[in-house]
Amino acid sequence: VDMELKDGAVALTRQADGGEIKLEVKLPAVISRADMPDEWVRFPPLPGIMKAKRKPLDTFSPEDLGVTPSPRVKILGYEAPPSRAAGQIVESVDQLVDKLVNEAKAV
Amino acid sequence: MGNILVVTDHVDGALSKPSFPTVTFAQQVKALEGGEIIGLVLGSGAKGVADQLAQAGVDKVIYVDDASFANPVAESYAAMAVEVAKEVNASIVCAPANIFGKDYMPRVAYQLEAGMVTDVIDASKDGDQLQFKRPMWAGNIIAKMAIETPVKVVTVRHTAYDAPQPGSASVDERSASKPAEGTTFVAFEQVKSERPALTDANVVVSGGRGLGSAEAFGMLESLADVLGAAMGASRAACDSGMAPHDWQVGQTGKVVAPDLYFAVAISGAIQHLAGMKGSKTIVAINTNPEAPIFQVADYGLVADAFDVVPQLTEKLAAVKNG
Repeated sequence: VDMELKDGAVALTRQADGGEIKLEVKLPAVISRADMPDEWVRFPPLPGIMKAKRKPLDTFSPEDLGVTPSPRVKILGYEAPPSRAAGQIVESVDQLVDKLVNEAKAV
Repeated sequence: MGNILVVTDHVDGALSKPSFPTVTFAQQVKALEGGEIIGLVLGSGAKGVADQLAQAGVDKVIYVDDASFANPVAESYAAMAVEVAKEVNASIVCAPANIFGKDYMPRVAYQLEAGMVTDVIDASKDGDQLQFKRPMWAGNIIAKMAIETPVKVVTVRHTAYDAPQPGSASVDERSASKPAEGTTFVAFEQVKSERPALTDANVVVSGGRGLGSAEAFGMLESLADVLGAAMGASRAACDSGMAPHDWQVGQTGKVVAPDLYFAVAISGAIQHLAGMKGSKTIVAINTNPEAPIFQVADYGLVADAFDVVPQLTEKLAAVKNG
């Protein structure tokens, strides 16, 4: 949820069950973030977009980097998740309470 | 046909709740593949946790006590888990798919040169091949996967498994140090609450941005108090500052599957549904009859939360007390 750059390290705060954990990680580091808060999203300025067209684009093959891709995991197929039975619209709080207590036995 | 190593984590001197369904997963795999289930506890002064794990349904517990394990730091935990995995000839190494499992298991997989599947909800066998199911695309698709390497690393979605068959095992206590070089643990700022933890609770009352303010969440908290429920919130509500990030339910928040889930003023974006559609009974309260949340709700009330929630709280309190 929070990051601060220090000398050769990053101070991080992450969400955990029941609170927040603070860590300090030395660089180089791989940091991942599950979601991006709106204020972190930056739109490239128009001159930046133009300059991007002229930037060099180096292409490597895995072999160039000395990597042999060998999949360790295989996807065998896909299926739909179990579907839920259709629900019902209730008309009032009383009806909802009645359903929860007597029908769903959830309370 | 090796053994199954379950890497657990703990907090406040007790085994974390998601560790138990991970043992259940191990039991499922044992029924399919054979082998022994070895539970691993890493900690400092955490013998009580090891004793707890010994009763949870594993065949043996290895407890490694060292200051370097006082807090789950990926480098230390992974290094030790890898060493133990090799020692016990583990062909399956699993952990809960919680913040800790997600943190150190990729390192474990890399160091064991093992393929890894995360967030597993089921294991089965087709002939000789062990197969795993896991949700993808916010739970809209279930993928069936196989791991091609001899050692397989898995993280387990805790809401997919019930409590394990308990048992009695011995605890092998030892000492070994795996100091972390790159990462320093600084602090764990715990939020102590009277309410149950979101991922453990039987009932969750969850609010969306439609409530308009943090004060409005107070109305939901009264309902939660009557029901002994945990509080949840949509990502939009958390990002707007109406609810703490700790309450976030969804694809990038917590995945919950309580017996009863109230979605109040939550539209039902698929990312939110991904975190709660495994709930047994879902109640939706929303002013918009077209809101997608009504597609998954068992009971839907098209109404203004501000009119309805206080009445609901009062009536449920009467039911609970009467």
